[in-house]
Amino acid sequence: MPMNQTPQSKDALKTEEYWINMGPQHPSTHGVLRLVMKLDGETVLQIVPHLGYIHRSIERMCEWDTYPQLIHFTDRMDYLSAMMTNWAYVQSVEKSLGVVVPERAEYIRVMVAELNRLSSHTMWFGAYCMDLGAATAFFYGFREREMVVDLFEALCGQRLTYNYMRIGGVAKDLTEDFVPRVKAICETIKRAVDEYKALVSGNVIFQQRTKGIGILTPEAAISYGCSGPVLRGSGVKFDLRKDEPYSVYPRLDFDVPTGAAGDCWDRYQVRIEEMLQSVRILEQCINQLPGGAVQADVKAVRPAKGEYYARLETARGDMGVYFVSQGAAKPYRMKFRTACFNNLACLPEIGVGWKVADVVSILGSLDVVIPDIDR
Amino acid sequence: MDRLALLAAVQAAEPAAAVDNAPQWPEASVPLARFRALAQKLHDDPAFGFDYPLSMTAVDWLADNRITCVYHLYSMAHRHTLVLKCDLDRATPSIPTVSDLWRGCEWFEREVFDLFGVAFEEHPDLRRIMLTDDWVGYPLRKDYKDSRIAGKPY
Repeated sequence: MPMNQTPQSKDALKTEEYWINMGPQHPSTHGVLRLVMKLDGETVLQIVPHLGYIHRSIERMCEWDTYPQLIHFTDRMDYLSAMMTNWAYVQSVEKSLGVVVPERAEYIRVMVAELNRLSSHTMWFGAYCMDLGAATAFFYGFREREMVVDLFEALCGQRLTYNYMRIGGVAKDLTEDFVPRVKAICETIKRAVDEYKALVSGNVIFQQRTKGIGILTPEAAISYGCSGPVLRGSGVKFDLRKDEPYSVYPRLDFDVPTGAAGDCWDRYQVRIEEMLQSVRILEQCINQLPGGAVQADVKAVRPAKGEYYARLETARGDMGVYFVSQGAAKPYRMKFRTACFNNLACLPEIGVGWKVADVVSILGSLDVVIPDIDR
Repeated sequence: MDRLALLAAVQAAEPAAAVDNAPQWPEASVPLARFRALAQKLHDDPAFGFDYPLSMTAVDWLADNRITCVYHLYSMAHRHTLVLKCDLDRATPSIPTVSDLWRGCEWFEREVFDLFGVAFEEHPDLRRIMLTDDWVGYPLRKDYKDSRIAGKPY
């Protein structure tokens, strides 16, 4: 532009809307998710998510196998909280059979679930900060996650897809050094959360990238069927561990952190606080851990004719397992209701009107795991 | 509302519905012609207060020649659950959408459309959601055959 010309006002400029692809290979989508976005300059006018890039038809595969053979499918959905997706499935089958799980196994399940929640949230913390350009925090998150993952590797031989739960109990008893290592993890997490807060929460740039961005109202969150930290970030105090209690959670004392504004910052805060609550649960479990068997005596797994549904709070929210039995060794129909599917559904609404970089922030704050959506 | 009161209220709201005090959650099976009206009442009436779409799916009953749509509805205010069912003709399954009542149902319905071939009338964006647009057939139907799969594929 020549020096003697004044710049035109934005209104006088001729602008044109255009479509771009974000994904399916894009670092901030954390997997193969494709968002087609209509833009006006940098402003997002419309978002159309395209799912199914890793659809494996797990529900159909479940119709081909017997109930005990299906456990390993479930940890390939939400692989970051595989202990809990395993658990959701075995819980539904136990309900159908009326199996009473030994008390020690219930405590072990709660412990590994809360450890898994810690590993999931620490990884999310690292990845979310990375999305927003804070590369250092990524290593902080992974440092703590590594302790949990190492512990799981000693426990069941796997670092990600555990396949540890069994119908009526768990695969094997705890290793001898399990409890001391959990204690060490608890101490580390308490210290680490303080570090996270000092490093990231107080950072002005981080706050500007999250506060007031991507507001999800409580009404919309409920209507979309959102759950977990996404729902609680919008101020809805709903946690299945408290509100539809299962296992030994009623005996444990913990709080359900909630947000107020429903923006990215609140979803971030809820997860940070949840880590400390998980530590509280773990410390109580260590004190209450009873002895005894870890596996109930389960003979033939043939649920009576009927329909069964089990709900469980994973790190991402409400995981539901619904199956229809005809009294056979294989399910007639198996349906997994996964948290991320509904949590992502609100993105086309809350992402509109923001800049492209804010969509990255909003998507990260929803903490979606793509195989959990695609199944 | 406890389960018996809930069943009685559903029966009063829709006399044509067949209610069942099933072991886990109360169930109501409603004829297709009355489905949308009942869904509207369940959503709008504060006594029911079903504001949360817990789950929505379908089951293919090949032997009976019907597809059953299954809606699991939950109320955040009252903390009660209702299983709403509606039988569809397997040859031309079609049902009114409820995605305007529960927005989460928009994707649930797209998934059922994709994998079962159930059409949802007046759905705002009825496209396949998991499979590619040119996919032939509906994989979760019991009689689905894929030439690339001979029996159990692994």
